[in-house]
Amino acid sequence: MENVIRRRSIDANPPRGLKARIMRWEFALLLLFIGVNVINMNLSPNFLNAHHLFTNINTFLVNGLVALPMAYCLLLGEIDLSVGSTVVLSATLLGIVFNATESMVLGILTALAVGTLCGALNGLILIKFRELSAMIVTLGTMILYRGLAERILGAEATGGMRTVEWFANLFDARIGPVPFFFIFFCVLAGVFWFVMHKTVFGRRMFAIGANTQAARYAGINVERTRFTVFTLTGLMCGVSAVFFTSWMGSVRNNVGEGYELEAIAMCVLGGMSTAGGKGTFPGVIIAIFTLGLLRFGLGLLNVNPQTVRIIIGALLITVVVLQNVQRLFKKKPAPANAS
Amino acid sequence: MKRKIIALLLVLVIALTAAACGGGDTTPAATEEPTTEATPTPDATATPEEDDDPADDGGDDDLTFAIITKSAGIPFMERMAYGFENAAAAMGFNAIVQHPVDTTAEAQITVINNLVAQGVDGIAVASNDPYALESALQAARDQGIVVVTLDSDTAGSQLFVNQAGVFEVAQVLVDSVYDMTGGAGQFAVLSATSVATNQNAWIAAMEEIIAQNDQYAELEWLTTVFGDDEAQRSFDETQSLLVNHPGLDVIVAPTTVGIMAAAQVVLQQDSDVLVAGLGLPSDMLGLVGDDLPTPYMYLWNPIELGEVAAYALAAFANGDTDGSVGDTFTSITGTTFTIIAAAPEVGIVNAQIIVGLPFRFDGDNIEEWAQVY
Amino acid sequence: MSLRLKKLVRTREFSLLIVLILLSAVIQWRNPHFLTATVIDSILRNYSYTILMTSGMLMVLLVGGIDISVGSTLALSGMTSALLMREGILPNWWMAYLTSLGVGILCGLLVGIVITKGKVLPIIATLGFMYVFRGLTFFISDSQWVGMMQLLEDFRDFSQGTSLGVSNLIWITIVVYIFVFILLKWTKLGRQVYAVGSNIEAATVSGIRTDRIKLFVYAFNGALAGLSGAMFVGFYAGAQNNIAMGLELDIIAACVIGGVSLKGGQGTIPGVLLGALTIAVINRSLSLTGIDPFWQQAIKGAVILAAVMANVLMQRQSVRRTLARREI
Repeated sequence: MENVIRRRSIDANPPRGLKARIMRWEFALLLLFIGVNVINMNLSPNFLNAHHLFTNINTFLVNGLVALPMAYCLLLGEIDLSVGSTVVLSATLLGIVFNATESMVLGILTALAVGTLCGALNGLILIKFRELSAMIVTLGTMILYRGLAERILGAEATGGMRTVEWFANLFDARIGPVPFFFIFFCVLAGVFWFVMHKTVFGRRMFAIGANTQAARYAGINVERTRFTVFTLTGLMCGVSAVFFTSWMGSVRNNVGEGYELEAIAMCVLGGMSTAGGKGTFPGVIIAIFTLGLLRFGLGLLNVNPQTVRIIIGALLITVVVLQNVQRLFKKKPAPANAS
Repeated sequence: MKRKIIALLLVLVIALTAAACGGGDTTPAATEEPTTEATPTPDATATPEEDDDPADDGGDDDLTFAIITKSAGIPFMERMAYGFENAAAAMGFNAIVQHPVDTTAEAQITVINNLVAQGVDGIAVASNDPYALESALQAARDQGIVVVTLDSDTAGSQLFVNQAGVFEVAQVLVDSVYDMTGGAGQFAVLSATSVATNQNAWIAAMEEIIAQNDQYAELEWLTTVFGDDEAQRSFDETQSLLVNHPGLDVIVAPTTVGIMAAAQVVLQQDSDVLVAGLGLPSDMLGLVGDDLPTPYMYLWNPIELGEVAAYALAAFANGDTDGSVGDTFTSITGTTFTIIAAAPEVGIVNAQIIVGLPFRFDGDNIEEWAQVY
Repeated sequence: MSLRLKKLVRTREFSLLIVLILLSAVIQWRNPHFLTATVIDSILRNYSYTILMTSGMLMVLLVGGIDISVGSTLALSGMTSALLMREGILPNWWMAYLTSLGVGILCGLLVGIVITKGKVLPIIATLGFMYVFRGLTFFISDSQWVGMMQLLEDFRDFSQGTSLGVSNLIWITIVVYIFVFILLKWTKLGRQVYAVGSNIEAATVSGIRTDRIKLFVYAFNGALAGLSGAMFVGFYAGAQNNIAMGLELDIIAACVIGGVSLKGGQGTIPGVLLGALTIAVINRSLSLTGIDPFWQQAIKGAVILAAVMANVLMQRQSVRRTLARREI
């Protein structure tokens, strides 16, 4: 694996030109996205209803919020399995603090702080124990954080958050048919795109993901970047927890289960390589919407969710295989990115 | 540059989608009905903002009812959905069965939203959370969709179709312990997950019954453990109970996976402990009987539960009842149900109808019932 | 101390053994029933398939891959043979075991082909197959369960029975461990597995057909998951479609605790055996120590983190000592 990474060039600014543009992954993904929507429109007459469409978009964007920083983790060649557990722990404490103090502002701040702390703990362990891989550390914290939420909540739920009207409106409020949350998500996605592709920090992430050792020699503070990315992931889990609570109004200890795999699937479909150093942000955004709307469309057709699972799994594999086939058509030799 | 184009395209597609919807009900005419059973009634699909055509005004005899189970792959829920489908078909209505992808409120809300978007006429849901579904169900009712709950209640529904009263279930569980211990002895509870709403309600009611009756003073409740409805966890927990409490007489498992695992462990280890609880006959065949770990157990008929939910939806949709306490309605099979008051102290927040009493399975009837469910 | 012994003390396995002993001592202190024949037997029996599958995952990790579809493979293969028994197609227990094994091999081969021929990163391919195999399990069973009496009696008897006082499932695990140990240590194929994982280009240049090695490893891993499917269904006397969900994480944790590097090329059978035992002991003792059920998951997570971190610290210590000696 190491050798493969060494050979890869930094891909922060991919080749230009019309042909290159058409051959790029985002283009194929965009076709898939359009295809999914066209099929959905034709198969279910109810797909094209702004109100319902955005109601559904809102629900998968709660998970989508976690996919944004997950793209950064994957870009570094890391992974964070603890995101779902961080969401449940943050949401739990939001509920507990709100019910204790009756102040929603305090609750929100708590959720953001708890998320950030969870992420920072992941980052801290990773930079202090460099021998350990992110997968095992975040697997441990995944069990730990959810365990803490279980301990705090016990068999109960903490509820009543939707009684605060402005808080419920974070998720519900709409400008015309467009939800505030959707706009918020788009703005955040824009910021994440800008940081990844237009700033020094973004280029550092590409460099570290492509070749950590070389990045270190080039004077990049690898540890600080890793710590920042994991902390940011935690913060975004806190944000996701706020919107989740605003949506559901109550929290139980099984909230957010499977968010990590869903987020990873979104990123991977969007062209992020789990080996690090490769991928673009627009791809991830298109993938979030493609997966979400595909589920919505299949749901409207009342397809059994287990069949949906098969379809999503098969789609994931197929697109990546296609991605590799597509690469064969390019002049450049295909990098052997499987290990 | 490239990325800008892509981003622009994305925005364009979304904007187009939104614009197309905003313009009213622009259903593509070409491929109208690719799937027969899944396609809902076109009339009910109008944009909600402009046209709040209530689907339940009875004029439409091609009503579509949907049932949402707790999640896929639970035999009890599968049978319940089967009963619902059959009853709906018998009444001449369409039925949609939706199993959420996992046992969470989020998964159910997604399904509810999908059904609202399809414009169904009635939804029956076995809730995964007592509070979290409220706003989604309220949104459904705002569109004129009838909502009832079954199996587990939640705020936001119009009626709870109760399989068997919470206290009745708790009572038979406590009585099983009393009977199996001979009136005095130690017992432990092996539950499902810690957030399982029904199990928690039954356990709470058991505590109350034991505390309030002197008859049960000699019963010692050692502990409550959670097997998470997984075979392995339930095995581990049962084995630990046997190791840690040598004086244990009875294990009560009010969950189908739990009772199965507990009875298996007792059988394999040839222990004298007896297992009581709630289980599906088809899964417990070979474990229930006079010389077996479980002398008898209880459950109710999931098929009937699903059927009654369909009758209730029909009664609301046809205007036979408005869900007020004391009101009655009659199903096409001729059974009359009376709506009784809610019981908030055990988590039932809506007016309810009770389908039946817990049914007892023992060595004599288990084989026969194993064929049914 | 002889040189050999000193060498042994410095190995990663040795520090892990100390972690495991410490852990057991704490549990024994909390619950005196822990180190009794019944409990030890139940740990090995209930977790025999976890331990078994850890050896397959070791091989996958050695070539630098990963397989998170094993839980779904277990469910699919277990459900397949359970359904065939229900329909009366399978005549006896070993046919059922062979069927599960066969389904497992097919799943593993499929995963391997997509990874080697399709050039898909292992985590993506197996994430996809995790969904596909699980979905298929629901699909073929029509979301139903298979109950105890629908399974063959001799199948249940074998899976729950003992030979020479030891559970048959533990015997299977022991045989597989010996097989993998010999394979990795003394055969050409075993050395090639390590070669592919430590330096794939060097391996290719030296004439190793890396794709074939990888394919073999995934198929082998699938085979073990398939075998575990039959063991699971027979032991728990019933097949549900949600069995072994999340099992892959326990297995990967067991490997990493056992000193396997996720980058490939590093890891041994004694190491993963200790890692798997550590995970089994943690899981089993959660219920045994009588701690509040709501604390259990938090403690499990903390213990896994502590175990891997303690292992790192001990390793650093021994490396430092080695270096110090060299300077003299």
